[in-house]
Amino acid sequence: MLQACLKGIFLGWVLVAALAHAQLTIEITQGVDDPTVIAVPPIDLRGGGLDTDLGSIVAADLERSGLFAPVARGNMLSFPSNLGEIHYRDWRILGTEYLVVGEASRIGEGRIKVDFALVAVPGERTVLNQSVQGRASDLRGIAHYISDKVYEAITGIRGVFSTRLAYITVTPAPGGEMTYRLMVSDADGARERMLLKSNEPLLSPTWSPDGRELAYVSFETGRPAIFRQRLADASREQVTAFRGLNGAPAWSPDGRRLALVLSKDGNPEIYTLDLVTGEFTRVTRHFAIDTEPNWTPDGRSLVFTSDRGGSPQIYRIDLGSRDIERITFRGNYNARPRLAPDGRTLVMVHRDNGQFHIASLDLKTEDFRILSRTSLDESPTVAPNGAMVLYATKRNGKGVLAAVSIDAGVKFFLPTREGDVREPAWSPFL
Amino acid sequence: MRNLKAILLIFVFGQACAEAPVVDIEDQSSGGQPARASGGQGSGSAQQVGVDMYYQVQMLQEEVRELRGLVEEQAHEIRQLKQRQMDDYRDLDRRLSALIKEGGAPASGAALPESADNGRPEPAARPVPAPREASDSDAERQSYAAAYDLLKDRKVEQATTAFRNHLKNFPDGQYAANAHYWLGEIHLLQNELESARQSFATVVNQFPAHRKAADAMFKLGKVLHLQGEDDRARQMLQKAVDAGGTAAELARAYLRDNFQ
Repeated sequence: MLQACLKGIFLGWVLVAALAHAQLTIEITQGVDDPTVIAVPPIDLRGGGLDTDLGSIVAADLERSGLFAPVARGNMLSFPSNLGEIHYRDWRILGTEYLVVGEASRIGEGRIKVDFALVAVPGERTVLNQSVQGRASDLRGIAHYISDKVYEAITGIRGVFSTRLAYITVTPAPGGEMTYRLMVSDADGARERMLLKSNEPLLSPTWSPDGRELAYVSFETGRPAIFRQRLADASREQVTAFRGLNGAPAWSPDGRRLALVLSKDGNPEIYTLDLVTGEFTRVTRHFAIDTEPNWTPDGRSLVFTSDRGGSPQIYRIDLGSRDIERITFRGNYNARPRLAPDGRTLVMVHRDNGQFHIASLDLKTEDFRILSRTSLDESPTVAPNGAMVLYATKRNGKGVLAAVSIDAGVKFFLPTREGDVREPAWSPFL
Repeated sequence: MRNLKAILLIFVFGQACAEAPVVDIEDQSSGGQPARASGGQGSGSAQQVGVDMYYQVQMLQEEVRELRGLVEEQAHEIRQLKQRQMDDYRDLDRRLSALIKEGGAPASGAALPESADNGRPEPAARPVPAPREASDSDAERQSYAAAYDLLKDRKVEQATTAFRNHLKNFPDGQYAANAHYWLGEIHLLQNELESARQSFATVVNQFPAHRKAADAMFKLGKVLHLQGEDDRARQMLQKAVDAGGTAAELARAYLRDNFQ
């Protein structure tokens, strides 16, 4: 009976959907008031010849961060590709603060090398001057590397352009069924790749700390079960198959354990699974619902959602002492905690006036902020540099991904052409 | 979590379905005595006890959760109150020791000369802010204290010059907001409304996080009102009310007395 009810719930839950293949695109809705003006002329082989212009990828990366305003190609007076070709006057009159120049060259057997430099235009100072090599088939990877270096040199924060996203897409299939896909893409939504397709729901993808595996929940066996899957060869392994709920996996920072939710003993409780020994350890013991565990960066505690206090709130449990401490007190709905890499900023879903927003809480100062202006927000995931939060929301009745910077200054959507996207998970640094 | 909540409901419902008998929950929750099931006659009585027990446990659990929530929230509030009390105490202690260091002027001596309004207590009538850290520049502190002393002695012209000089020498110093504020007070006292407005606006706009900012909002609101800019005055006073503290009380009173 319970089993049947549960299944009904989950099926009902994944109701809305649209169609077929769906590549993510990006729409910036809010950037900082005073973005840094940067120019990235084409970066190509001498005389052209690359399929993808690296400069335009770098410019798009930087623009998407919300902190930069790239100079339009059409306004550029010259296209320098090395330091010697720069006429600073050309850039000063465009109000350019920084300029990225670069040139690619073939170094045999499908590999290319890109020499690139970043200069500060007002002081005519060279900030970066280095080179990167890579496979000619991985031009986007090379461009993202350049973006990361430029971003870090200017902002002092490590760039996340080379990281990846995992998410679930839902599209209607013939016969009224739904098709669920586990997808992985670059952080800019490009190079989308399908890892798994199923006619039963897929949920809660989570990255291993080395970025080589994903764990997720699949209903393909007729009930929820947790799987882990390698990205390189798509090989997979079923991790749990208990009666009832098997959900919300979260990889420990050392990669040895999974925190997860099982209801095998009656109601949802948090367990850890030692991936080496296969041993399960029960962490919480309460008649209320305990769910959505997430590790603190030191791996010693978990934060999780529980309604043991009458409304869903976020708690922290020390895995050694088993001490439990409530950490959210504002409002009567705080759920789905995710800690930023600094271990200090907690991101969550917060209900305010009946609307679900993404909010952040500074665990030291107790400073609380609502970050998103959209409603019906869920599933926040924090970028590995702690600067952005990606989450799922609804727009025009469609499930889309949206992102907001941790200071709420930058916002953008990652809409798809078709179908619903949900449950994003940002990879660690790769 | 939203989904899990629903699951819990289904879970309860599921249990009820399995057990079949119908129970009058209304009756049970109001009295201590479990109600008899309408359909569970005969062999059902042992089963009925089980169902009653089940509901009682459910109710107890619900009650415990609510109480736990209350205890958690109150513990949190107590912790915050303790912290606030400690902060207030430290703040008071810091100010008192600063006053003693400055030559033992009684606290009341630090009050501003009666200003243009009708003797209402001024939010600004606070002791001199003390240096925050021992490493603060002595020259800066002395320069500010000297200007302030002139004001206390009602040597208004000299105080004005002294505050202006202080701002020239330490435009970004830790007392800059205070100096602007007192210049505003002096201008207000002398009915130089435009100058007063500029001084208070400087505090509000350039030092929004400063302790004096809320006081300056109230004063700026007042000046704007005196200048006949009622809309902006009301906005500014409302800002002061929102900022909280003593200034908020004064601003609220001012709004009540002048705008309604």
